Amino acid sequence: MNARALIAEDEPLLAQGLKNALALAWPELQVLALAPNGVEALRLIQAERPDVVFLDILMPGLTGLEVAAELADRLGEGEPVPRIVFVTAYDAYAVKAFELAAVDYLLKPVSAERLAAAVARLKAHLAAPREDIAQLVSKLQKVIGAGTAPAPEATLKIIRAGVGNTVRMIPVEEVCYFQAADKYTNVITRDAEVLIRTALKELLAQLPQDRFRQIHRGTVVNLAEVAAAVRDDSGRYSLRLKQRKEILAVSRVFADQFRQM
Amino acid sequence: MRISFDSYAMRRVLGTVVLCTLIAAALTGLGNMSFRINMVYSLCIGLLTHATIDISRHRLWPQGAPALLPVIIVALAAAPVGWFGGTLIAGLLLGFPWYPASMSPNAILGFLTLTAGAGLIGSFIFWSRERLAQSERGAAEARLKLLQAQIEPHFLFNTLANLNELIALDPKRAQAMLGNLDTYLRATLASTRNDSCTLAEEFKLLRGYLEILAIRMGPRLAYALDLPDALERARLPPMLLQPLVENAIKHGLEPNMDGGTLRVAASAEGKQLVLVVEDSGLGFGAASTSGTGVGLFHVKERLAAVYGSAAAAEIGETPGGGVRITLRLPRQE
Repeated sequence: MNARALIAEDEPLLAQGLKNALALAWPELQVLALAPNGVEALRLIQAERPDVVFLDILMPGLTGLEVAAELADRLGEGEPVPRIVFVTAYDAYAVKAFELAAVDYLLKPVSAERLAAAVARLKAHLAAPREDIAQLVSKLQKVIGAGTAPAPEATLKIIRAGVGNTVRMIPVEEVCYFQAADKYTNVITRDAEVLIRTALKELLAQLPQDRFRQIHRGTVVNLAEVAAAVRDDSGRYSLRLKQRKEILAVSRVFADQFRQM
Repeated sequence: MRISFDSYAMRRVLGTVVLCTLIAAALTGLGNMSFRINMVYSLCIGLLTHATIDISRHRLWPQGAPALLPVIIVALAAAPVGWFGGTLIAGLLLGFPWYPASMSPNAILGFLTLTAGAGLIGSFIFWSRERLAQSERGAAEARLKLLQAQIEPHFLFNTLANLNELIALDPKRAQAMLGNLDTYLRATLASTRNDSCTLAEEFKLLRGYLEILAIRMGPRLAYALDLPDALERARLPPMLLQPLVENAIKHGLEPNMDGGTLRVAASAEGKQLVLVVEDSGLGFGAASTSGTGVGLFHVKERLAAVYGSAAAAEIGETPGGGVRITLRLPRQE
């Protein structure tokens, strides 16, 4: 059976260009679709189950890395994992890491020779036994955060949240968890939920590292508020909290910190 | 002539007063007059010398200290004015006769030398501090210019990748894109050498930059540049708007799945030039690429370095939730 591929790239000329170049470098490869953003890429990967995925790193919706991490969460234990090739124009610090997390990575503009080498690597990988999710996850763990080490900023002690005409002062240790909500962040305490106008990623860099941990793309939890981590049959972790009823899902790439000692 | 009496001028006067006090204390130790009388004479001579030096300097070189030699000459020339005048004023204040009339030429020469020496010390201290401040200002300006002229590697390599495709697909558009890249790169280089450019030049650079992005982003980007004919010759620091447009694309429109519209508009309000950069993108702090505000910070720093308090930058939200940045600066032709 011929290999099937998906290309995720937000710039239309580059998506079409990679498709054309692949037609020359790997005529048997069947390109199923071109995804113009990360959200569409994730949907198409799940719907079409390609063997090979070319993921641009900087895409609207979800970045290439986020697509891969999200994929690791959504795929079931025995399901086939697509071979990933990251494509990027320039990433001074992360390029080495991409190499660890994927079959290959390509720098734009992609030369014919370089693409031929990537195709050879992909063919070798496709001939070998498939990777399982655990392997993908352990590779991704090396990359997530590798290029984006947060600058040591002043540690935030109080969250100032506007509620009507008043600004509530919430000490960070009273926060059970933070949840990303579109362009805002939901701050959840024992008995209240308030929205603040700071993006979760920005907030995370200012929170005390020993207390607050990212457990999902959109969730940061206060470790002191975690009662237990529960592992289900498929190997996914979720967190029970001390003072809240809801259960928080842990992304596979962030699950290591909850394994038993 | 206008002498602004700011805190720096106050500090200099204070320096002179300290120097006068030291001299009065030394004379009291050596001679037979009381400290009070010595202090009155010393202050009158010192402050008059100080004023003479300051006024001459404002007249001769209002832009700041030139080389050391003219500063020395002015300090030496101010000494007799300060000493003869100062002794006269102090005598009037204390009800004493004018001293120099009854002094030996040698004593007069001694006091003139003392006054000139004190004037030289004061002048030299302030001259060297001014030189230092000047070179620091110059260094800050140069650093900001260089930062402004940095080309985003992501932009460059993605543009080259697009050109690479267009050359095969549509050579005419490839040439147009290359022309736009050329305009952008030339303007970037020129900005490190020039202190100002016209609005027409800045808008030409923006058009080149946005044309490139329109090809790259396809239908996701729409843009409008609004420059009234009357403002084409207005002057501004080069590459002032470009980083704001780059931010709007990078943090507002590029990470937005549906893209959006970018608008740059110039208008005049009285003697002020008002420049607006707004986008219909994700809004401040929303993108996963969210910046640290460094771009805007640099623009503010540049405005402050060039115009002082006469210019302002303000960040706001459009009704649609995008970002609007408004710059106000003096209108200069």
